[in-house]
Amino acid sequence: MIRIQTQPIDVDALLTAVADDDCGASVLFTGQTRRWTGETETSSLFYEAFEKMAIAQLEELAAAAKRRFPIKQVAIVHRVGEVEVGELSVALAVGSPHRDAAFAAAAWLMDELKRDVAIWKREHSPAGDRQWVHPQLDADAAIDGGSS
Amino acid sequence: MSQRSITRMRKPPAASIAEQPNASQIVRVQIFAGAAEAIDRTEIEVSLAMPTSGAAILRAIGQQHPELNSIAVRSRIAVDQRFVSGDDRLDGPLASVAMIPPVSGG
Repeated sequence: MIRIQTQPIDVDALLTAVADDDCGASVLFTGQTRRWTGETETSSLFYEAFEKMAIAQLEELAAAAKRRFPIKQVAIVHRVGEVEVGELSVALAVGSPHRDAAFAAAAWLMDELKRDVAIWKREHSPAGDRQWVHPQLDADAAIDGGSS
Repeated sequence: MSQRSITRMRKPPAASIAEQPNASQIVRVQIFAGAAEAIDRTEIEVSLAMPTSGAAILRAIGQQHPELNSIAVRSRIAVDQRFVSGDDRLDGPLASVAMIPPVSGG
């Protein structure tokens, strides 16, 4: 299961997608909109994707994870559009015979997703300010507020 | 001289243009997020000397659309939905070109 969607993410669907009789471990990661990043308050995030490219990248990442780690199943879903505080923006699940590989693969997949996949977020503040997040452009490289 | 040969002299076929060193090509480039917001458009045109490269496309975007220069220097180019490295030689018609600013998914 590799999806980019506007509707809320159903985590049960991801766990079902990675269910496998040969897997003794399933790891589920979710990222959600965070209200506070330091002293900056976020009311919601708006996500945009270059969908055709992002889907291809996510499929390639899933395949790469299966080559890199002894895992059997990967599911990744990312939302686009407006995501309110507390709602999920991204979820991924990994199914593996043993837990160590599932944890490691999930962490690796999220790092790769955040580094390369053609998806962008815009932060919305309660005061109505809107700011696209382009990490390497920000003066403070730590600025990547409001989410995982 | 036939009408056909006159036409050929005045306007070479597109394929031969691509084969000539330094021939220029107008390429449409998709843009996203902060870059698109900066100019209130999701697509721009750039004139490129062919063959070109990812780095040359970004330089051309910055030169021909100065309002995008600051983000272009930090962006990457994708052709047919795949990143190209800065010095990859790109030739022939470029159908799907996108400027990918630093991403922030997740």
